[in-house]
Amino acid sequence: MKADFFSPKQVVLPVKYFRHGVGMREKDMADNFKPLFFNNDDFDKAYRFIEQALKSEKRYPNGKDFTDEYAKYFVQLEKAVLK
Amino acid sequence: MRHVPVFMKIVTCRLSLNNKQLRKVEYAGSANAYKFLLTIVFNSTAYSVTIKTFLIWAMYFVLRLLKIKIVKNNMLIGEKMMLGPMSIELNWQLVKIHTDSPAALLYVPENNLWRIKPSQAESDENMKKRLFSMLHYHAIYFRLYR
Repeated sequence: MKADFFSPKQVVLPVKYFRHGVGMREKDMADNFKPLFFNNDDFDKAYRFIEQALKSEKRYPNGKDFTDEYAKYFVQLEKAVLK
Repeated sequence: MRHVPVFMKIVTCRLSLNNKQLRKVEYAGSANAYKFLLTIVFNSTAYSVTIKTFLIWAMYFVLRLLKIKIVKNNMLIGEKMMLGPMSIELNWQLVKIHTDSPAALLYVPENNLWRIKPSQAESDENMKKRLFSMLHYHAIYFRLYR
């Protein structure tokens, strides 16, 4: 079930937020993320890096609430994206 | 009635405060006043437990009558928006961020450098560092949301 208790538009990352999970937003829907990059190639590259990080981090953390879980998962993604 | 958390939307807050449609502003100062009164009642030896309980309830109902909401470190702003013929009531909730809070890191310019669009194509390493900063920023942001 999709999380609807906060506005995902506030978050620039190309990520969809679910209850107890996150997933990749479609590339053509990443409106806030795209302008952060020099060109389309860089945007594609960045999108791929995040996608790879998301795929490599299959263990989704437990938290006090959904946003706590997002925060914990993003910390995991930080490390994964640098690999 | 729905509370929409805003957190650091200072611009939104200012706009709302200047808005003529602003209906009411309630802030944490009332919570401090309530705490102060509670301390006086609890510390007083002049009253019995029954009277103390009665006074606390009386204070609570007076505050309810005055429509003062007691929310620690929060600012609640009621706003009435007109959308054509419809009137929509929005209640903004702004959370106070202390300077020693981890969330204050969101305001540090170094933590916001990822927002700047590069003037040339990025190397893989630089891009990964920028994505790291981006994810780190949002991890803090979600902690603030709680």
